[in-house]
Amino acid sequence: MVKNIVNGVSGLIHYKGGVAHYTFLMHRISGLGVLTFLSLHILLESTAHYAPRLYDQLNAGLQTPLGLTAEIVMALLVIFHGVNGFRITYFDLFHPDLWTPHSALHSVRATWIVSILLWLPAVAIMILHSLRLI
Amino acid sequence: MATNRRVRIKPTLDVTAWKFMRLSAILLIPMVWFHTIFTTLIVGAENVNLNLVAARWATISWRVYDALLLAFAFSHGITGLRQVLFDFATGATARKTLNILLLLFWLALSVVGIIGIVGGVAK
Repeated sequence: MVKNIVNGVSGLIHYKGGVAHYTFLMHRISGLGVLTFLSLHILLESTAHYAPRLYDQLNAGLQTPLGLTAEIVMALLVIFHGVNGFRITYFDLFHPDLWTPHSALHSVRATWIVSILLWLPAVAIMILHSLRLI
Repeated sequence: MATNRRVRIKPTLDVTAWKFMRLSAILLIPMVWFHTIFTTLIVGAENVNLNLVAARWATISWRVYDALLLAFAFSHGITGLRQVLFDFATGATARKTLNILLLLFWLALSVVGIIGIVGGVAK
């Protein structure tokens, strides 16, 4: 088990698969990040039922520069995971015939560009919200 | 040119998990994005409070929406975590143990969340 983890992690770092490999890694990292957030999110939102007095106190803790930073990072993780998940699902379920190493590389590049283009305006809106300008 | 042929695959747990990840993705992409765009970009994190949750959960369709989101997103996440862990844990015993632990974790948080949504904001 420990050997598997050491081998696996060193493989993930040293494998020279370029942008496609970083996309694979980012899909996993973003997935684990979103799952961690989701687990905490379930617990926090549940306090509205279990401990309503606690709810606003906990939310106030999120309305801080640290909370905003977490929100901005989470936005990138969710957007990337969604765009790349769409790419994977599209090829696997709807068009396996369109998959070639070449088209995969193209679509992987497009995934990063689309993700960042969707993320940047979201960041701007979240900052404006946190400053109470909108 | 890619060749295509249909083959029958025995529906093991891993095959079902593979399909579930992609089918739930189709559902989750619009649902999660609507949820996050609505709460973080339209409402804004600074406006989220207990009154807002109470107002939202006063509508049954919001509760159904949140319950579906919880069920699909959390199951998708746990299945994904299982997939990642299984790349490292290759032994049969380790995988069996992980399956049980993941199932318990999934069950625990799902029940906590569903009771919260069904129970609503306590006054």
